[in-house]
Amino acid sequence: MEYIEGTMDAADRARIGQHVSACVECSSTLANLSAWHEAIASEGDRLRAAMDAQPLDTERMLRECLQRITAELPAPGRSVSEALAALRALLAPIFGQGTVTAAVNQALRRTGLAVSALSASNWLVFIKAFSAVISEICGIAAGRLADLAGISLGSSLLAGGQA
Amino acid sequence: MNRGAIRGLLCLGFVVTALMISAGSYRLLRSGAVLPAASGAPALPAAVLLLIAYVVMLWFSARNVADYPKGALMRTAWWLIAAAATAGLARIAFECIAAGSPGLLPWIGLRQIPNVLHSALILSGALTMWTAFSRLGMGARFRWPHRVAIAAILAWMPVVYSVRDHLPDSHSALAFIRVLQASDPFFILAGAVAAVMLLSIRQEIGRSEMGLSVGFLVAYSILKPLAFGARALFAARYPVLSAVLAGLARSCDWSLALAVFCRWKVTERSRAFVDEYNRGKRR
Repeated sequence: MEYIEGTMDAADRARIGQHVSACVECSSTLANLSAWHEAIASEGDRLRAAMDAQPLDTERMLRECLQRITAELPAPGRSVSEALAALRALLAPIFGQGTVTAAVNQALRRTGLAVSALSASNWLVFIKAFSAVISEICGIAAGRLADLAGISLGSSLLAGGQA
Repeated sequence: MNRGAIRGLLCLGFVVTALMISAGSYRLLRSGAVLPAASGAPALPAAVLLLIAYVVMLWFSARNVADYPKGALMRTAWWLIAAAATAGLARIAFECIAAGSPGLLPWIGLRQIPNVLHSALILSGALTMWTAFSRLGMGARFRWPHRVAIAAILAWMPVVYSVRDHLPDSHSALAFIRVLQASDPFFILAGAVAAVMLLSIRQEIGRSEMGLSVGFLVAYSILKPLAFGARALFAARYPVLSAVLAGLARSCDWSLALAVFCRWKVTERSRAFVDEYNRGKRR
């Protein structure tokens, strides 16, 4: 995700770029993730634009936005990486990209999981820890939103699929 | 009322208060007075605007406190900021009453109690907030511009102390008031150092309501000491600049009100999303 978001160090970025250009499987994964990231980032922009809109407009935009996201949610059988990317992109406009990334990392530390070990079976454990971290830093309402978004994304995860 | 409109009103309050206090300070400087004037209190309309800023700050801070689980560091941080708003409210109310009644005027120096308390509470709130974010592993990217900014703030400390005589209550008849008055610049400058630490976190948070809230807190904590020292430093040679800085130093509390309000928006927007999601599920 850091590679796609452009927050990775130049050296690591070059190393991964070199590998992706040579590896067909990784190249395909990267293309899928990039497409996903772009689709959700555009929803993020719409949410940001909704911030200063009139209440009625906000309501309408939220409804449309949620419908679009639901339509574009990973269909059953999508990977944990994609669900994680969706979670970050959904929450970043409110809590900030850095806060969400730090909360994801903290939740992984608390649950003793590695990103690569995340799967449909431990997704809910991770989401509980993630929403607890968000509650502590952004408030209870924010934690509830993180919980709801996480559970919703988790319901479409591929059983046994990993990040 | 639309959230964008509330933010606009808070910004307007900031500008109008700054203009009012600047104009008042300029008139005093032109009349040959040395800042601060006898009472050092802002004129009533500006004082009322500042009261409104503190009430807004207190109202939304209390709501922010209620939105955190017990034991969360951020809950403590918002408690401290709510307490700072109460101290600010007490200061401005006492200042207005004392400046308007001849019997109380000799005791106007007592405002330093809530004043220093306000600065100390803001410093504690900023440090607690920084601790909460750094426990998540944020703020580790402390780069050279942040170090330069801290060095500049520390270098600014002797400047502020050298012009301390020009600040309200430095010649109070009460010794403990003079001690309190002398400690206020320390808390304000320490608050600026904490603000630079928070700035590195604000940059890491990214563009969001949460980032905006931390940004306004950083702006307040840096603007305050800058205007605080510079207004006295430039008073003799540049009266217009000094008057503008005096206005900024007093009105930047509106920036705190904006920080508190933007944090509340995080809660409001989260609730709106959850409600919308639940409605969608029922459909």
